[in-house]
Amino acid sequence: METVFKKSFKEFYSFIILVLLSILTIAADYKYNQLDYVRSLLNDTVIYPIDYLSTMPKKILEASVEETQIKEEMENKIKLLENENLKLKIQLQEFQALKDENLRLRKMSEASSKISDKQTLAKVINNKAHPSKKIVSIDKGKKDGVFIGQNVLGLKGLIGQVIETSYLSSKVLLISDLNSNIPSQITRTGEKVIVKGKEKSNELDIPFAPMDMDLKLGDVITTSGMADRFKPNIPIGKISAIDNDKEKKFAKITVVPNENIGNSSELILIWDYKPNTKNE
Amino acid sequence: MNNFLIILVTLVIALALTIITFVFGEYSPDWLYLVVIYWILAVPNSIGLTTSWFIGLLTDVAFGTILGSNALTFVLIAFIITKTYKFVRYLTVYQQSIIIFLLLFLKQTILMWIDGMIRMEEIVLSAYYWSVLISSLVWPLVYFVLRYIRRKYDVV
Repeated sequence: METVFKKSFKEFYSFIILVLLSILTIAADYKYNQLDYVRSLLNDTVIYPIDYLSTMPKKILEASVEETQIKEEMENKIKLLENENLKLKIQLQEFQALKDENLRLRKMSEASSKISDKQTLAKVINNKAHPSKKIVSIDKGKKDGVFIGQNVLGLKGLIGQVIETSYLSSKVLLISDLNSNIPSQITRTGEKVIVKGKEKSNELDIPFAPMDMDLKLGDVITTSGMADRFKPNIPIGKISAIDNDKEKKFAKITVVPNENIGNSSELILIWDYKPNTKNE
Repeated sequence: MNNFLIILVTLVIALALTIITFVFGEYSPDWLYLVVIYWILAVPNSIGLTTSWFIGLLTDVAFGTILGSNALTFVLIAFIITKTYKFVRYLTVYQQSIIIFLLLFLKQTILMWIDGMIRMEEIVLSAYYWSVLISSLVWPLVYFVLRYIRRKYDVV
């Protein structure tokens, strides 16, 4: 009888110790960010291989289809052209914003005059890396120098930012997530607004726009560079609907992003902008 | 050794299923919780509290939640099951589903509470509680598959 009690007590104490350890872990992770190393280690050794393997069948299928269609030479040529195209498209994004700014006869700010010269293409491993948030995992990590807060673009506009890095992979929070607020501006008027994600993936929201704000359908929205999170003048999307309901305090404005957010298989990481992530 | 291997394989499959079913969003069941609960029910000494704590830590990494939150709920659920397996084991599978529902409801409430305390994010209730319902519906499936595996490979 005594041994049963002893065993039961031992179990109880280990339960209490583990609960305390969990609380300690939560505190250490939240307050002091001390456990990034543990997270990164577990991610690289366990999660990444399983993630990679579980998406393997799909990839093999895609690869075999590709092989039968295109010869190697063609592929090389296409790669060259694609790289060139990429650079041009990124330049174009910024020229569009500059054009609008010039229309307003404003002097360009210093920050917007530089065009990124280094980009890295990252492949999406899993475009649904979280059950409820809009997070994708990509195959570039600390090994390639990816840092937290790094801006992630598509060919036509902003896609998101890096929120977690491990040695081999990292996670990107998309701008269509409910919790991402992007400081942005309307290029035609220069007014600053905040663009917010929505439940739907192909729509964004401007939640706090005053009723009398000068807005038109089709106005281009770009990042403003305020709060030092995103590089200025990256295009986000266009205004697609304005709902001026007089009974509410704010107008309801819907933005359609340029990029098909969440469905792209390749993303672009830019390097010339280091966001300020210290005050988090 | 054999036991260890079989349980490890089922846990790895559960983790892979977790990652694959991220596609279903909030409707994806908690595979890891179900598998751990099954093994503790069927073979009480197979997964100890410390092991379940580590599985919880892995879950935290997979979900990107704050490290330790899932570990806490894993330990809690493992402890409750090890204390009550004698009773729960003799219920029918569908009655067990109700127990699973209650346990996971408790777990999600704790997780939501932790999230609410430490994060300045909007909390969407549906993101937490759909998975509880789906998990308890999936439980009979997990139960029969794992029972088949347990009998075939003679895990005791």
